[in-house]
Amino acid sequence: MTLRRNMFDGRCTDALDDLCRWALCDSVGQVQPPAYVWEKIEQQVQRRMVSRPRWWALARMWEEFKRNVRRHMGGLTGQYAGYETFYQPVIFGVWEGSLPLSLVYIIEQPMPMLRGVGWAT
Amino acid sequence: MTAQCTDGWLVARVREGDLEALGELYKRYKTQVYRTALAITHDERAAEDILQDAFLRVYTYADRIDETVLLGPWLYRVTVNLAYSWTNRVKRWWYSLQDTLDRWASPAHTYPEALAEDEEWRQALLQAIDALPPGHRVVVILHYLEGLSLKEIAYIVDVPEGTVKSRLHYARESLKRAMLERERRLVPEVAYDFT
Repeated sequence: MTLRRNMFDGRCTDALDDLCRWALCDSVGQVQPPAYVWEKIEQQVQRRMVSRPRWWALARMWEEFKRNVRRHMGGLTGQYAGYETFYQPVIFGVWEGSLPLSLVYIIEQPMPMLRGVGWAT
Repeated sequence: MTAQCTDGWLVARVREGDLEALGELYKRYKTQVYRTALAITHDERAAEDILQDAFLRVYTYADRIDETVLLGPWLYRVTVNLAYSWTNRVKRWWYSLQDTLDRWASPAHTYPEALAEDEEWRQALLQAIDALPPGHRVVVILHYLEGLSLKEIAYIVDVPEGTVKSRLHYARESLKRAMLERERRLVPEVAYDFT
């Protein structure tokens, strides 16, 4: 005990570090989580995987739509040639931020453009 | 799935929904996460919940994890935050402290003398660590138990490296004071009477 007291008196500065390491490692150093924790994780992930495809399908549709718009606008000619630079930022910039506003902008698009991306007949 | 796969590759697989990749990451990091959580909370059930939550977060936020670096620091960060939330939510600080005090108050007569003394020291030091402010306590646990550098701890607890250094310094001073105080209580000055 005297030895330990000397350690804490500062004569051996590393001793406190060693004691802290020893106390903590001795307390929880050898612990292992029970096997059922992974089983629970596995179950939860599998449950989520079942519900995930619906969201993935929506996300894929949205990505597909964006690709179509870009392709269509890239191919515009004649009187609509200038729309590419004007509408594209509006659609992708505003739509993703606010749905109601975006819908207004969709309605404002010229019919041929909406037909081109499959949003009008 | 081999152990040679990098964390980044496994995280990329988790993004694709690969449960086996998540299992490999779990194998790699479960002990560190569980141990850290247990050291902070002193509650096995809470540590299990934190471990579970941490890995569910890996799955949920796989697309936000930087795959060019090791997953360890990110996981420690999540673990510490979850453990903080747990302790704040249910105010278990007091319960765990009470437990420790109870254990401390109970006689250690089941141990041989030397072992009992070691056990007393260990308990006293753990009690002193528990009594540290939460921010200091986490730094002590990550530094001494997990052997992390100040820079790594700074990333995990989201403070500058200098702050971690100062927290560790004050924590050590505080532990030193607590242990000296205990020593003085146990071995009082002997009053010699020559009359």
